[in-house]
Amino acid sequence: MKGDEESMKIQFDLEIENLKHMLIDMATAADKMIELSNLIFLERDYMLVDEVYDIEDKVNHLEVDIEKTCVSLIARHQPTASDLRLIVAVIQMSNQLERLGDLAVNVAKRYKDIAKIPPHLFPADLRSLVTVSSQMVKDAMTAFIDRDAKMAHEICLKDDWVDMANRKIWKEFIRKIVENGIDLETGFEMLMTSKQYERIADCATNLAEEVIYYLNGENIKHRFQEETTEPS
Amino acid sequence: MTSESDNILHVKNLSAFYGENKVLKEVDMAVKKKKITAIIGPSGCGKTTLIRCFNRLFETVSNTSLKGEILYRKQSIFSYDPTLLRKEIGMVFQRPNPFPTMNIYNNVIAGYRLNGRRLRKSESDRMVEETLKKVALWDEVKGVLFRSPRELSGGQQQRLCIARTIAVSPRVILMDEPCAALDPISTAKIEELMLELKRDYTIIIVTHNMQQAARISDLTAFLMLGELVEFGETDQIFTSPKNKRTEEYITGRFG
Repeated sequence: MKGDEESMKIQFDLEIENLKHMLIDMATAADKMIELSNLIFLERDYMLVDEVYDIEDKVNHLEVDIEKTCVSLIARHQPTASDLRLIVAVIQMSNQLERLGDLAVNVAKRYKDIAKIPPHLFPADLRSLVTVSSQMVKDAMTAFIDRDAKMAHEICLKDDWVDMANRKIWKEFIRKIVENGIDLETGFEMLMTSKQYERIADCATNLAEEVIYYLNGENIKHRFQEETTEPS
Repeated sequence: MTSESDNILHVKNLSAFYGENKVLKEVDMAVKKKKITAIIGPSGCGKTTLIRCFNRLFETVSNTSLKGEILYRKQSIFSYDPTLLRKEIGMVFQRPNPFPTMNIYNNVIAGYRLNGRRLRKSESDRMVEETLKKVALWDEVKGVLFRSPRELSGGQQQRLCIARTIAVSPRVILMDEPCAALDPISTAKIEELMLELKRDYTIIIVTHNMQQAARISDLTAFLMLGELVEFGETDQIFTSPKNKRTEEYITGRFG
């Protein structure tokens, strides 16, 4: 009986490791989608659009597989403590990664309208917004892999800066639409693209919150009140 | 928010000894009224010893001693007459043990008969029916009350033992692995019964079955090698235990 219990535990540990690898695969794919969308948006590399859609398929399949694996683990092993928190966090994180994939697609699909806007009219903080949001996603997954709650907390602090940057971009670009006679529909697509990056940062924050929950059992959602940190 | 008045038992710096062997080490815990407190831990950690201290069964074993204090309703358990204390703090054991020489009816009121208290027939009839209904056994045995309890299944016998315990109106029920000898369906019935009974009684259950502790208890105490490692709300113990040893035990990584 003791031998059976031990081999069950080893089996469970193997399945948990496999689950983590599935999540990391999904995060890698979502991260690639964001990277490609950034190039499409900022560098106008429109050849990459199809690749974004191709990877989206993989991300969506992984979300379904991850959820199925988590439910199976819960049913078969009745996990507790950090094992339970990991599985709950992985379910939530896979939802966020799927959302990130959708947001990357939302950026990529706007390329035709964005192409109509001369680069010199792009808002000043746009590149920073793109860089910071994208990096927040990478950092959240690094925090998960390295089990670094401190790093996860720091990600959450950056979200307010991203919100402020997005609002500033909107204000600036609305003025440019008026001053430069930019077509309203086209201008709106630029504003919405900026909004996608603000949402990417929100998803990264949600990922970081799940990492903190997994590592510490601390649920910090909806009550994060610390001072905004301007990312370096 | 809880206060002292929510506690029915209070263990203060309790150590228990079999000869020189210290089997409980400075245990401090408070048992809340009308809650289910589970005591979990690996074999030999002192779980049964601890609950047998509560009703002073521990001292009936030779060469045992205690240090520290146990308060029941704010008074030392040693200030109570042991027989009266054991009426107030009843116990259900691992293997169902209805008295084999008594029929089902008399098993229920055994607490009164064995203490020489005579009940009028109407009183004992009412008590037997009420008590067997409380343990959800009445419908199953009402036609065979004067038959031997050995004709009942294991689960029914255990419910009969619980009925016997509650017939004398205890405040606390100690349960030492009450489902260990039962099949899953009987176990489920006993667990359901415990959830009903906690409306009226404080229940302390020793169990090896962590899923059982997680399912039914409000508070969980984790013992290891005689030491109370962690004690807290069951939800917190099973989702975010504070102590690494608790985490390792409940995730099955040792023990």
